[in-house]
Amino acid sequence: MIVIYSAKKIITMNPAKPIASYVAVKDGKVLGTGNLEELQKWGEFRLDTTFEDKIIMPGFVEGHAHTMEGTFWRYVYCGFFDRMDPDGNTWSGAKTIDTVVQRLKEAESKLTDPEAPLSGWQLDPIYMDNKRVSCKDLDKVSSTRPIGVLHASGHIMNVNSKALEIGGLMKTGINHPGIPLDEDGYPTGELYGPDAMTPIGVHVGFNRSMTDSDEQGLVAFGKLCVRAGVTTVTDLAARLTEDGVDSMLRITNQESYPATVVPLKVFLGATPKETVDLAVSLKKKTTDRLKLGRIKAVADGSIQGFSARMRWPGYYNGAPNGLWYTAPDQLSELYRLALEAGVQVHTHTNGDEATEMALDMLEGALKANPSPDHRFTLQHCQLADLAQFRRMKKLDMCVNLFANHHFYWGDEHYRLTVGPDRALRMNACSTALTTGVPMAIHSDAPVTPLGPLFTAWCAVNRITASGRVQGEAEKIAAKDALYAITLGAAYTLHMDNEVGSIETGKRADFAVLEDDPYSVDPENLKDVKVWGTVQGGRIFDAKSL
Amino acid sequence: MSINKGLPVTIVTGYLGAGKTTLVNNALRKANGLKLAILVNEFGSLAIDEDLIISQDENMISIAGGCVCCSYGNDLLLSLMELAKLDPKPNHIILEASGVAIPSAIETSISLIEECYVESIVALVDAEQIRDQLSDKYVADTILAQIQSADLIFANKIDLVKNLSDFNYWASNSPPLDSCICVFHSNIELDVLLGVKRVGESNPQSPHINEFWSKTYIPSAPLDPKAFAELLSGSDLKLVRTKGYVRGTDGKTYLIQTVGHRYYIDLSAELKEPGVVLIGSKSSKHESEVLENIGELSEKSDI
Repeated sequence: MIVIYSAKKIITMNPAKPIASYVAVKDGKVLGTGNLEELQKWGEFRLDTTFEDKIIMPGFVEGHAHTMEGTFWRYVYCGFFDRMDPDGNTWSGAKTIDTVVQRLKEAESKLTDPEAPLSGWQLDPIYMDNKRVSCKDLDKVSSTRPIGVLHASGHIMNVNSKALEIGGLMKTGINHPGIPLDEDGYPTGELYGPDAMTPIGVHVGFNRSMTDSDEQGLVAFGKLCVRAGVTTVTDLAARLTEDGVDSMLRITNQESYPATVVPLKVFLGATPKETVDLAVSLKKKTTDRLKLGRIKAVADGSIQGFSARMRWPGYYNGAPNGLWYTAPDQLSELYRLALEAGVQVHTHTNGDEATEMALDMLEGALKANPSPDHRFTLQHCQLADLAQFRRMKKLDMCVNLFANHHFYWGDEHYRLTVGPDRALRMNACSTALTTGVPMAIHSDAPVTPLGPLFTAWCAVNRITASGRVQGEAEKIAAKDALYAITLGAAYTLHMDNEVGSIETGKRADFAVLEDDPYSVDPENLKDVKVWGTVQGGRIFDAKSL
Repeated sequence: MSINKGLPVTIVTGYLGAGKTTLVNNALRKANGLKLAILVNEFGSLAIDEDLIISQDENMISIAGGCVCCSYGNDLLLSLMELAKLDPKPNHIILEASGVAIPSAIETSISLIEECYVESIVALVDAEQIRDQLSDKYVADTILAQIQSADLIFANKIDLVKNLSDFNYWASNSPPLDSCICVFHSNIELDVLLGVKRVGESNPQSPHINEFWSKTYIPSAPLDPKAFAELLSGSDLKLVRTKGYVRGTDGKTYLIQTVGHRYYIDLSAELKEPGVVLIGSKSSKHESEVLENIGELSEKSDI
């Protein structure tokens, strides 16, 4: 059965027919776009006018997110900014520690099991005058129940006294850089870095498999996708255990699942060969809504955690250089084997030394295994300079820049971590375009909210949380940002043949919008309302999820 | 430092290719009744004979004789906590750190859990590659941090070094490599790697160890255990390891253990015959000289 949808305007991203008013869909794919006369010749059809007053764009592609956000929404939202949950309720930002405590108290009062832990997420005291949160604050919520609140960065956690006690840390004499002590010699309840967080994390609801979304979480994440206009989404550092894959297959194969999920197997705890072999064998399990067979490597840490690897002159505040998460030789072997097997690798690099290292390793691997169209992608790649972008181009690499990060932490980078010169060039979208490096932009949800239109707004305006424009020269045009969140991201996943534009033969994936993002003032791009999506020809109305 | 009651952990550090996995494989082969728990980043090239594997799941392999191997992925501390719950309890944990991990940071983290304590940090370097690696633009600082936090440094694959005297000259002028012990095929006896396990069960015996010498020193009089431990772990003697009982000037019996510059002193619940096993290498002083020195120094400094 052919369905022809009418719309106020269809922006196709197909240069041959950029704008249309009708789109014909059959078997979940696009038959064609144009006017009714052109389309009705395909045969018998039903006209659907649901979108008559809407704007249709290609479904958005989020090239760097983590489905665990779906699970996190079962915890208490403690973020500073307003944020919409999977059910469409907007949680107002908690602007003070007292508000955070109040919110946790409300959630606590609803718990029936007196020993059940209480977990919160997305706390960010940076915006609360950098006021330190201590276990005494969280003790106001409960002194009998362990409580843990994860910070927005994912690198810091605050816990209460009970959690410290259960974890065996309620004592004096601890000497650990990740565990600051109070004047009385006891831990303040702030835990920095995974090593300090882990022993307590297990007692407050953040356990080993935190990066894996559970089934309920994956369903919730699907709803977030619809609300953001996203029809294809990555799960960028999945463990992909056998059970995990089965569970993802089960959920995404449900007829009601609204997105195609692209999980990348994280390179950790297995040799390069084992990892590549696993990716090759997983590829065979790929379905329409679960695309397997890609690898994610992590070269270094984070800039705000001072664990990113920096080239000279290093951190602005004099912090020592960060850490390698993967040895150069291991990355080199992974690249070589992956190129040989035709498996794509995305690599997290935050610091510019990590970017340089990944470029060096890929250059060597490509000499050993010349591979046309490999599309190996640098993820985040926040501090790359012009020379590094030129090398990416020469090596046929893609880049996925962290545009949202610039809004949330740009001020911190300017002031503290990398200083003005490098903060201005961070997430250099314009440089990527002028050097011709295929580019996507991302949210890294749950680190920042899933919302490609907001991400596009960040790249276009480069405004930081304090309202400053940081890096005028790296601003890009709205049309380029909108390309980056559709075809641009699809290209980095080798999926531009399937999704990213509305044209004959591609999956019928649409973002259905209330306004035209090409006509609004670029400063208002983030305020364009999303009605919902069409995914593989199935309609998902955000209001009735 | 007093010994925590938890399980002893030896952290084996070193960059890729230094021979860490070979060392772990050797340890498993030589376990000889010791129940070792081996923690590795990945099972990868662990060479465990199929016949010896009793059971295996995603994270753990149980081996005949009571040893187990575990992969820790991204949660080292949780894995350690789980190992400590095993029944029967392992005697010792060997932790093969990843090639870019900083062992002192791992030690600090392990100090947070009560189940284990770090007994020693052992670094392996690839003797043939180390000079190049220490000027590599990406990993020089990482490798330097690894060897700087080690109690014992082994220059492995020494058989592949073409000009040995040149290497020795370079190493002796490149601290902390000046105290490195040359080995090949990661051939390090368990008594050296993990400490002498048999001391105190009967009269102290000097184990026979390839590449190393070992002697038993029996103090002739009570001494100050702290000063004595400092002497044994000091730069003067360059001993690899020591372990044994001494009588303190307070009349109590103390267990003393040293590895490189690290030492532990613990009050012994039982009264033991004094006697300390000393293990030295070619870079230590000659054995007879060491015994003589200890004797002299003990008298001189009123230990």
